[in-house]
Amino acid sequence: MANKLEIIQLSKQYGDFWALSNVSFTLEPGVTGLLGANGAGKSTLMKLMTDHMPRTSGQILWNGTDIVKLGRKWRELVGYTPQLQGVYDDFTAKRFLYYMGALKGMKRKDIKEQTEQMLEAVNLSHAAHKKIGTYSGGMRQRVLLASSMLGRPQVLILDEPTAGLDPEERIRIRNDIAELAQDRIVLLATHVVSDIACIAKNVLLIRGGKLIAFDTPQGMLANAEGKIGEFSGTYGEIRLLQEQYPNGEIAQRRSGFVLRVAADPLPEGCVPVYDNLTLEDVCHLYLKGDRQYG
Amino acid sequence: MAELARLLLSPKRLVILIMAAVINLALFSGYCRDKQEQSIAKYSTGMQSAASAKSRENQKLQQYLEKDYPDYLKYVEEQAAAQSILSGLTKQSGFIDRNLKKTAADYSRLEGITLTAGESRGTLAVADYPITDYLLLIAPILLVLELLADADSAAGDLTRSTRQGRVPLCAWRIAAVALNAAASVLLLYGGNILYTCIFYGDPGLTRALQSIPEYQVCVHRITVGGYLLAAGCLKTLAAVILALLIWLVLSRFHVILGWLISGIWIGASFLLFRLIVPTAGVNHLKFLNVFAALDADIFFTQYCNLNWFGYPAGFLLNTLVFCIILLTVAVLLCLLRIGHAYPAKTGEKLADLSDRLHRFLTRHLPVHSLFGMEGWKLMIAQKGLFVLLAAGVMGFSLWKEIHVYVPVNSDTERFYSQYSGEVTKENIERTAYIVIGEMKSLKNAKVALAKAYLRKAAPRDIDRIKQGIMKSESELYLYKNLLNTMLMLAKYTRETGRPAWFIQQNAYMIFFQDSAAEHRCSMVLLLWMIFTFSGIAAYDNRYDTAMLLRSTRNGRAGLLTAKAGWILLLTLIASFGLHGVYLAHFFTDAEFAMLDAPAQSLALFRDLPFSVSMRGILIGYLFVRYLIALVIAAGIYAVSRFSRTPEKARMTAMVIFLLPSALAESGIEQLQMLNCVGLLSFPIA
Repeated sequence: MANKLEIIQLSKQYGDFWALSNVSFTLEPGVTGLLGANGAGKSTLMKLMTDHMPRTSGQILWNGTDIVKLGRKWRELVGYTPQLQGVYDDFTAKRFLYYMGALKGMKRKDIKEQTEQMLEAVNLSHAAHKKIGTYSGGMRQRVLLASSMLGRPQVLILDEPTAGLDPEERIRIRNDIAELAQDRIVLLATHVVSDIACIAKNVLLIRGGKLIAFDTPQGMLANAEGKIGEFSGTYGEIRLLQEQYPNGEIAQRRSGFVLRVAADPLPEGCVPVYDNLTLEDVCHLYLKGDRQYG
Repeated sequence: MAELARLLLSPKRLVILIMAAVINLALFSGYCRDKQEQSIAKYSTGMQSAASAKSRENQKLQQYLEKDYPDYLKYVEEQAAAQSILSGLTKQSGFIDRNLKKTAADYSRLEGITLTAGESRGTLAVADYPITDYLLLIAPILLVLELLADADSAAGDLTRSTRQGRVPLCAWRIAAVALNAAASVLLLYGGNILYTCIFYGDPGLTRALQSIPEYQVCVHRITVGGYLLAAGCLKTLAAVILALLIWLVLSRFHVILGWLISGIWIGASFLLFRLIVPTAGVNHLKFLNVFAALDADIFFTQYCNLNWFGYPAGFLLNTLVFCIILLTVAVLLCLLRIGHAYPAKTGEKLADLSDRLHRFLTRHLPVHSLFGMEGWKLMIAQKGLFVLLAAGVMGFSLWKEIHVYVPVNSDTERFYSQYSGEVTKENIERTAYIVIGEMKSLKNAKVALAKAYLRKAAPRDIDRIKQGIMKSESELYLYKNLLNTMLMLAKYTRETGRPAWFIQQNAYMIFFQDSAAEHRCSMVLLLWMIFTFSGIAAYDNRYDTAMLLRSTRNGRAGLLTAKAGWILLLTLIASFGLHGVYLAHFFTDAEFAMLDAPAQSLALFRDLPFSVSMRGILIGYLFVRYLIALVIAAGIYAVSRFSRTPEKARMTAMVIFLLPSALAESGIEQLQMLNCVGLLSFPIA
């Protein structure tokens, strides 16, 4: 039977502010993309899923058992990559992985073996004995990814693992994640929508602490049909139109300039687009007005 | 100018200066109090009162001022003349002859100098205390390291791209290093002078320096105040040169090579200054040395000329010229190599060496366990090993400086050597016989005195009998006391069933008393704890690893246990080691009598409800001090837990734990409640 992680009516309140409100969904093996603007509640959701903070209400069940009840056993099953690149500058990559292995309670032999494998997997074997302080942002991110994979966890929670990476490194890490997700649950939070579009089996959209949508990328795209459209005109005309639709995105086509707008219903004069719809458009549709996607 | 203000008035820099001053004050006040306690103990050890010893000292000083010093000047002149004649007869010329003439001329300038008696202990303490010399280097060197980090950052590229961002900026930075060194000397060295003025009294700054016997050989017409000022200036000069040269070397070479070069140069200079005697043929290496300027005191407590191609030159002049040349070269090189030239490309080969070292350590150091890895973080990544080493060096230095004086009375010692141990009926009877004997001899002496008065004996005979009576009275008092103690111990044993032996208690009582020497050990322990444990949790905070660590199986209780384990272990080593420094002196300078005796033998432990030997009590006492150290370590951990970086944690811990302790140790009674050093010493007698 496949593993299952159920989030049921999960809420978190800070004072009067609800960071997360009655969120429910179920994760199964494969990549699930988590999209939302800054402050939408993504990090709070991840903190609750790693049992880093107490929840206000709701449940998180791993194959039917609450993760708080599972305690250390749950943390044995989880691999986590934080957003802030929390790695020690004075450590070498190898020592850092040994350290994480020790924290995960792995056996010495396994730590040694898996450290070599993970460094190889994230292409860091050549720099294994260099101090992390000398690494680029991408290399640090790969160290963190390697550390989250140590101990072969069943659930991987990755908070913006491709932030600050160059395109080549991003593609490489994206492929690694897709590979990992074959037999485990991967929750991938990111601002880079194209990362999710390529590898996600499901997408979670969060706004203001509420779950807006939880579907497959195809389902979301189908749902957005008829709600994405474009105005055409000269640059001056398009600029004038953008004052009316500040969430619209200016693009240049062979025919001239267009303003791509996501709205339900579409405004008058806006021609619906049915081809080349992207998850970016879906985000514009659902998350418009939020800081990141505004 | 803006750069000068940015560097000198930044809160971080001011905090570093203030903290260095606080640490220095804490250590120096302990040194002064210990010195004073040692001299009092020394007087009482010889069974003479402190007042009578002080009056003898004053007599000696008066003799020095009125007779010995003028005689000394005359002696130098005569010796110079005689040696000059001899060298003329033996046809010796050149350096020796010229040196004799110069010596005579130098001392002849001092004729007619007015010497004045006054308080000299403060000046001597300031001159003798070496730790301040090293502490005052900290602030300028830290500033230089900050400038190096600045150059490596994006801010460095930004500033270099501006019009004033190269040589002018470098010049302002050199000025900032110099002013920082001056401020450091003023705060630390000036703080010491101020403290001694309060602690010992007016040092008589306007007196001629030669009024202090230790400065008898000084050839400069200078007052005590002038000497302190000159020493301060020399120390500033040395600090600036050291900081600039370190800056220069580290900015042009790879960090490992840079520190290696700096370390070798500093180490060699230090050793040459320390090991070469002033009159050696190679004394140029001693005095053409930045450490000679840092010490400064040597130019006023010794006299020496350097041989330059047969011509003598005063050692102070040599050092001054050398330091000014070195400073000029350092400033010019800094302007050219740091300000003007392109940033240095540091060696790839050395970076490779660093990688190899890490590979070697990863392979050979068994640190795969969580406990081991936490130790790595604490001792290697956060340089805890160096702090431990520094504490060891300070502990060794304390071992050299501390002395324990236990009052010794030969009569009492003889008695204790015969009757120490279990209180037996036989011993009580024998002591009672001694007391009766003393009573009889006192009675006989009194009868003899009465008869002497009756027969109108010579006053000398009467005085002799009176002295005999006084001696008998004091002996009777002593033996009566000893007998009473024996009887009391016997009664205690009879009533409680717990044994209490008759033992010499002096060493024990001094050990369990409050002492400045023990406070000095505790101060080093407190400093060590602050510097070692401040980063224990703040290091994780700096890198925002809390969530990552807590998401792992052992990232909560396991991690805390590993950290607690290191606190327990390291505090055990440091606490037993540093408190042991003082304890060990009771086995070398004095002696604990009968370590196997029951603790109840001491009045201090008579209420103990269990049986334990004195040896056990000593170990238990160290253990209690260890527990107190653990409580303070836990406090430092709490500070670290809620601090953003180890540096901030260190500063906060210093403000909470060190500052009140340092001020309380310096004599502010209102802060005794917050005195961690007093708490760590835990006096019970």
